Amino acid sequence: MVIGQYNAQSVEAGAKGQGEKMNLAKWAVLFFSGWFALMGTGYAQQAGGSSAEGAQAYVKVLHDADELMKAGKPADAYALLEPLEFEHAGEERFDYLLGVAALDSGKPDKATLAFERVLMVNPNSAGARLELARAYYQLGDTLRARTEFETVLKQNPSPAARATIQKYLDAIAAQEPGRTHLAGYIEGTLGRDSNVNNATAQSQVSVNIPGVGMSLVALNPTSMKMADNYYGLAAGGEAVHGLNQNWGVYAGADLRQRTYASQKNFDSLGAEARAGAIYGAEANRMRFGVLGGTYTLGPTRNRNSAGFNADWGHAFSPGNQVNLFGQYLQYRFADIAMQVNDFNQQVVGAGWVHVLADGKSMLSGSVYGGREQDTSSIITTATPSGGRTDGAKRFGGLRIGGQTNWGEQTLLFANAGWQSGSYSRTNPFFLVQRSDKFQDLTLGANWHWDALWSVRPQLSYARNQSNIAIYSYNRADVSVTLRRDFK
Amino acid sequence: MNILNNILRGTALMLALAAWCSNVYAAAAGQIQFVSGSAQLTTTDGKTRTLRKGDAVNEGDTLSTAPAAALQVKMRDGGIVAMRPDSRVKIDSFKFNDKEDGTERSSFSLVKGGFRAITGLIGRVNKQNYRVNTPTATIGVRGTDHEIFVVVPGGPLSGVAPAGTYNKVNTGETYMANSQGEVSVRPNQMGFAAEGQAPQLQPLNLNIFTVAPAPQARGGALGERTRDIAVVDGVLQEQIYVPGFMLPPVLTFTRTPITASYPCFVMSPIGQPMPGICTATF
Repeated sequence: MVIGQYNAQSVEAGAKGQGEKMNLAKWAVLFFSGWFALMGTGYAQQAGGSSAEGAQAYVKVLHDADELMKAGKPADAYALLEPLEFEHAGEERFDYLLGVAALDSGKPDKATLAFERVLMVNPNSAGARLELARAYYQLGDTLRARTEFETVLKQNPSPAARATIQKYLDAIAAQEPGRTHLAGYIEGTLGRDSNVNNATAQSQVSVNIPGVGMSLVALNPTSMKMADNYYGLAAGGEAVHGLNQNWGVYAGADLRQRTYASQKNFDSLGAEARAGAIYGAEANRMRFGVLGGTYTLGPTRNRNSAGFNADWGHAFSPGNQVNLFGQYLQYRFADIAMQVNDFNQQVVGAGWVHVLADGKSMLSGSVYGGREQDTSSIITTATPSGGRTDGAKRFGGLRIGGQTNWGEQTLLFANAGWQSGSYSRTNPFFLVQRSDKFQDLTLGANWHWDALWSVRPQLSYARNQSNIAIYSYNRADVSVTLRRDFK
Repeated sequence: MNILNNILRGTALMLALAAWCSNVYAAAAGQIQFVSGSAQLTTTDGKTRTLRKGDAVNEGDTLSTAPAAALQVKMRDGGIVAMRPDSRVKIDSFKFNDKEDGTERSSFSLVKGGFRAITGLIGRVNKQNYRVNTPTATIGVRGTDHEIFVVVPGGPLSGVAPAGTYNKVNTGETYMANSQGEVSVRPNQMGFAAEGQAPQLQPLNLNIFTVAPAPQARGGALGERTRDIAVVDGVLQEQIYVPGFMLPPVLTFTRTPITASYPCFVMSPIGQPMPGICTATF
């Protein structure tokens, strides 16, 4: 408005005669009314594209959007491109970029419109068809996703694209009502364990002996840190049966065995089974069910566990998913000497998974908390009212992790965690309330030299610092695992 | 002065013309955002013209696409109408004054073929003000992205699907109604209404709803760069969950009794205390 007044005054000041002034004023009114009408029009076309300057600006926008995608900011790329959609719809490069930005920022419906245009212009664009299939998959339209994935397969895509498509087709098959999807594995491991019993390295600890007081006692060898080599075998499988578009049921089991070269009392055999239901709708996935297991240590059964768990995941965008999870398990020891340690454990937590810009790397984090209620009714001198010597436990922790593809066949992974736990009772042997700080770190690589065969070298380190010496330990485990998957 | 006068007059005329043209667009129901192949517009007075990108479409116009052609219309309320090949749609009414005050209205008639509609502001608040009419059903929305096809007897799709109206929902919800009944259609469901029959849900008919045209040549994608999306969608597929990423991978509780030995006095067989070794279990 200020600009208009200034211009009108300038024009008026330049006029000499009254008649001319009137004439000019009339045309000026028309000039500015036309100007404002034009500026106020809702359908004003976007600038650019018709002039060399506009074309340059447009090229810059495409370049900037491309850079934003590479920087892992698809929502920003979409915000940059979307205002230009009307003007540039039908241009293959623009539509592909707009579609990818929409897809990666959680707008698969908008993405399909853009990819439909690309394919109308160029039906041979396997890249756009692959992304269109992904968009359908994200919309939950698995039938059309499968159709388009299969069409791309017939276009003789690259081996990497073919492997990706096969993953989708497997996932879609698993979701189809009335279909049962089976997957299994078997693996063998060779490794060295620096502490087969999670035991302290100390040979003597100070203990309160009833009637004597605090005395230095010698820990028995089986209660002290011992290293050994081992081999392990594991096998497992899971079946998922689709009931309808949203619901499915699952059942699975795993068997894990470890044999030490000399510490036979710590050979272990664990068996776990699980079953439950899966629900999936749009960006939400839920899985809940029951699980149970038995664990044998040395020649005798050590404990059984049973309970239920639930996990809910919501994908805000393909690269960002949050999880809420919870688990309730009862642990019951078999050995009468260990039954005072029976407990029920509850854990709840929240996690987040973020896929980095290149689509090849992932970061995750979680926080969790829980408690253990000691449940034993066995009365001992250390537990006159039953329960564990240290009583109930409250704990909380956090974890971070990451993985990245290294080349076509190798996945590098790392995860680490920190956990703090405190107990409710004063331990009569040590005259303190137990308090632990636990840390662990795992580094490894998964080398898939074949679609079904892989080798996994791995290093794990765990450390527990406790104010009761017998519970402080550190443990390192280095291993190589050969694995064969069945799908 | 004359020169200045003439320049001003000419500029004013051009601006007035531009303003008039843009006001035509402002009053239009929508504009052609994308067209591929041959598409036609027929006005209420029977005049037919070929559609091009940027053309305005108005209430009362009938849009038609040739086989293998497609177009997208950006409606004035922000909605999108994506017409499929070999289709004909009439814009029965379109009233929108940039407000959702109840006077806004959008009504289409699908004569043949199909289209996809992503609703804009019309129908967002006042759901009853958005309608799609077909020969066998009326379709309303509750805020949605849906696709509709009409298969007519003897038409190109009559060999692969029974005649009637097909309505597939991508997001949101629609309902299909006719004199025989009504059915609610939710995401990834397909409703079907045949002549004289109540609308019902049916399995998705891919012969109708596979919209991307088939490739024209085979074996051409080997060299084409595709994005590495294995990790991205692994998140959705829950295939990248590795034990230890969310909860600790190892158990921190004691698995075996911890025992210690210490010198003490024990009872001898004759009941006398004597030095010995005692064991404590923690």
